[in-house]
Amino acid sequence: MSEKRIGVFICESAGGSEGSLDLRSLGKHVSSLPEVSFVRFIDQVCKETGQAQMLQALNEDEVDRFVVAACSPLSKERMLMRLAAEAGLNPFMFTIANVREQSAFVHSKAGADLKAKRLLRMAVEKCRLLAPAPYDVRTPDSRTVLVIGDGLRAALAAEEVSALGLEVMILVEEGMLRLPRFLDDALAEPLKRSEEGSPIISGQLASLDGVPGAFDVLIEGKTSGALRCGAVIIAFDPLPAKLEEGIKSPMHFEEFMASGAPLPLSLVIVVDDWKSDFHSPQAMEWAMRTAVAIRTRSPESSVRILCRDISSRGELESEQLRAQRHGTIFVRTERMPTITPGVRATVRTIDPVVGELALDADAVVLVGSDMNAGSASTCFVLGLAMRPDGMPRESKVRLRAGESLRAGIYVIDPWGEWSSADVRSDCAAVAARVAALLLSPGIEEGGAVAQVEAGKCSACLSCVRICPYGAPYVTEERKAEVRYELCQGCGMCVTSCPSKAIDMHCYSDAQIAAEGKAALKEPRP
Amino acid sequence: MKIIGYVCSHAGYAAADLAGEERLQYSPDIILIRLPCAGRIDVVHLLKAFREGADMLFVAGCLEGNCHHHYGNHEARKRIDQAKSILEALGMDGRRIEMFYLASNQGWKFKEIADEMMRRASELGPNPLEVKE
Repeated sequence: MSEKRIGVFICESAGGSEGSLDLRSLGKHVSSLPEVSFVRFIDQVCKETGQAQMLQALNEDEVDRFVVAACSPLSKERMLMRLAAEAGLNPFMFTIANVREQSAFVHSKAGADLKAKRLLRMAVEKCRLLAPAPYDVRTPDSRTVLVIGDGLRAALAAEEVSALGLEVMILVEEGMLRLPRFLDDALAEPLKRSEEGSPIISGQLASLDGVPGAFDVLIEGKTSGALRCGAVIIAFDPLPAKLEEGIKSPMHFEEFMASGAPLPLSLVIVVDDWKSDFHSPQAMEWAMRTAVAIRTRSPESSVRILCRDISSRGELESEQLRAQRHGTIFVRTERMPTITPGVRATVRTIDPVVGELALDADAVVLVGSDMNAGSASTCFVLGLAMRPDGMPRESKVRLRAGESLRAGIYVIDPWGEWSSADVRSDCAAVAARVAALLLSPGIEEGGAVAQVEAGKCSACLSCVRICPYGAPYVTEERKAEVRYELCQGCGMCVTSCPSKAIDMHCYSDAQIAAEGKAALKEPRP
Repeated sequence: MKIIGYVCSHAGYAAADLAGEERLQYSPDIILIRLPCAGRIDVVHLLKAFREGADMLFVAGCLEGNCHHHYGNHEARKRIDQAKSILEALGMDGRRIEMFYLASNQGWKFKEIADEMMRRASELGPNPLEVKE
């Protein structure tokens, strides 16, 4: 193995304001290590003057990698990547010894000095085994966003995306978006605009290949063909609930109201949130707004809303108060009521406080939703992990909401605590994420990614199965390969490979072992 | 004592950084090795570390159900259990190795983990496998 030349930088402020590290003896210790070309003390690594000093040192002395003893890599890594690239090195040819947060701050002076030496030695050992990592900044090939859906969410997502200056296409199976006729025209108006503004393709997704920024999509059905897009948004609405005889759906009831026929004297609206475990504020919103509309038009009518729970969060709270002021009666039920249809229908239910109830009604409306099979079949085509309701699993619900497990594919949740206003903000949030990907100057790829040594691979599919991101695949030569554009660098495939054919950059098996060895070399304190 | 913690970059390492920011003192015998994800840990890494004289080892990953890489912490758990059973077959105490779950904002929990490992180390004594030089 050829001689490595390692430069070591020690940040003068690594010891903290307490100055609890003896940086000079740390420098002396590390300069005695093999292959270390120079040790420089930098006033402050994170300051521009410090970086200029480092850059000069890297250019003058012909080092091919460097170690920085400073604070946490979580805060310094990106800055040093840039510095390495400026110095003409591979941006991953450095390691960081965290002698600040993990030594100076947490131990007594003697202990901290000893541990800092150990940490720096480990970083040098790890640095020695670094190899240039694949790294690429790729400009997105296509800035078109493909929205797959069939209703409100697809339309809103398309509108939000095009508002950010991206091209949109909506893939709909039946060639038309099913848009609910909301009582609120303010919401419906922008929808019409987006319907005209975005090209709707009718067909089904047949396959998707490629990487974020350059997906190749095949479409079958009414229109078949190939198209290229940069990102995909899966935005299916829940389907309206199936209805028994004598029960109206919200859509039917809206038509009935629009026809100008006399309104029913007593109306029961059943808000179905028993079927799924998710509350359905959207259904509740519809029920409350309808109740208000009926009572304004015909004050002698009575409206009762049967529900398990009143979920009126945020803006909906004022809707609830308005409905109550208009004399709407909310009836709590613990289970789906039994409805006997007829000229006057009877709705039987059990109120947890009052007990058994039988309500007479001129009309019964059921507001509820069923799961949409479209999203499950899309997941199947894309090979995405699914939730029990057929929606793609979100990457990390709290921190990366709206991202599916596959990079470049986004999800708009059909359930959750959303009212129609919240659906829009949900769509806007996902649109912003898509724009961040596609409008960025370049998508960074590579770094700490896995790589297969083809000679050792027996194509057992362990890596293909364990990867959460679908990065490994088996080539026609029956060898696994990892697409580094999709690899997120978790290293699970490396560990799971029975032939040890996979290793990863920046965290190779040899590096982890070398770090361990360096940490354990000294006699027990 | 020689204690190595293999920590994931997203939770374990970040929690240790936070413990540092909060100046929570723990023993300098605890050395961390940063991994991209707890799921990167291999039984071989753990056994090699024991052979080289580590007294205690631990792996710290994201909270269950909240792993940055979806199920890396569960993969790590499997390997820890495997390593434990190998240690026990060798006649060593399985408590020398442990899996912890924490979040990046739980610096106090990192200190607790460090203290727990120190407590176990003083109870179990040095590594019996260590090659005498």
